[in-house]
Amino acid sequence: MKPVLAILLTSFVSLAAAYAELKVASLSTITTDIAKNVGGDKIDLFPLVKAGVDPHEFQPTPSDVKKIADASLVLFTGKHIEGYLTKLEETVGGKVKFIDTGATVKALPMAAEESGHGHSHGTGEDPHWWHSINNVKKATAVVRDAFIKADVANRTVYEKNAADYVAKLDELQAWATEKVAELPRAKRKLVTSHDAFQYLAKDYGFTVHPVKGISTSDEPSSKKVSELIVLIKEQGVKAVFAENIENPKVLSEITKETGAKLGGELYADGLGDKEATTYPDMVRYNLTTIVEGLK
Amino acid sequence: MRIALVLVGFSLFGVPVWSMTRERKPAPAIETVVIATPARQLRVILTFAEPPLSFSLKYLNEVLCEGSAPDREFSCDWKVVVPPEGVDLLLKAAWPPAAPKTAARVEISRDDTVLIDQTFWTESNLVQSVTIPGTNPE
Repeated sequence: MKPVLAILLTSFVSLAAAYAELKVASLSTITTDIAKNVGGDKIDLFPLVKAGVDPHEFQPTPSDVKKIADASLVLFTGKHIEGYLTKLEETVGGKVKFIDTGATVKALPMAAEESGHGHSHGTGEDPHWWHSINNVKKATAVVRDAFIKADVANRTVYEKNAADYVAKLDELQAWATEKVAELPRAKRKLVTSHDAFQYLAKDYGFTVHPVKGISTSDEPSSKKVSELIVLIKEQGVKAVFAENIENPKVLSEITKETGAKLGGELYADGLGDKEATTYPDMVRYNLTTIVEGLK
Repeated sequence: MRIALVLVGFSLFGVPVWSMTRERKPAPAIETVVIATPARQLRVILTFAEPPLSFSLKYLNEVLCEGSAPDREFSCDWKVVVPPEGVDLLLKAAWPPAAPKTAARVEISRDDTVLIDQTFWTESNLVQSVTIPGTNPE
């Protein structure tokens, strides 16, 4: 009788553990990485935006909507990058909890807004907050708290995992500080294809000069390109940077006009499938590319 | 009357022609004033709440100060041209594993005027950037 009871009890516990799994959908490769680190094997994660997909252009398919409707939590980065969010929330109804992981991050204006001659994109805020490591630490706390609220039985696991991930981010921060210190402040001029690096610029003393606006679908004006050519020549900028998900045609033209080199491709909108499969890898790859390109 | 009109006409035409064709003194050259950014002589003082196992303060690849326990206070003099964008120094310090929370203070001055006075708290090793602002910050 005792073995039978033991087997029944074990089965019940296993079944309970299986049902305890928290179903989490993620609308960004950045939130996917945070969720993997904080949730570990306690969550069932559906990454809907895959590596190398442009989040500005992403639209959920009907099967994505079904996965989201089955989830308990949906993680998104916010600041208006997910233009489909309101419709999605309306479609899946109120039983799914949407978590704005960028809610505690102070927004920075895009470059054109600062200079006062750009056209408006939504709120004029740069939504790419993950290019500041401190912001990812804040988002980790948001994800941890959301997981604990939805699955309090695994509180200690989420707390420990989040603390371990923040320790990794601290190491990354130290590495980044040391890497950027190799480049004199006078050389920290970042010419990129679209306006996605305001948070990185603020942390490390760069000035960003984007060819396009906030969205990858914006088209650069000939006036803007001419201004950039003058700036690159005047300030002796050694390199300009393309992005992994974009055609660097305009940047190639700029390099021909100025003699600056194409410094490499940056991961602006999220993780990739080569050098940047995790958030720390993405930061290391981007900063190494920028610093070595501008030296 | 006609003669008078012809004379007036010639005069009106002649004055601008004379004014354009007369020999002029060369215009004084515009003086280009080149303001050289002077090198600044700076004094750096580092104070640690707990003596670090080792520390270094660097500018690019140049080590400005370095040292180790048991001292808590270190100073060095440094001459540098500070561009408008400023310069970043890199402070690294290491303490024994499991050391309690500690602090490092960086004071940078020129001619007894304090330019930087920053304190950094840490629970582990310290890697910190210290920015000396330029004369014309962006």
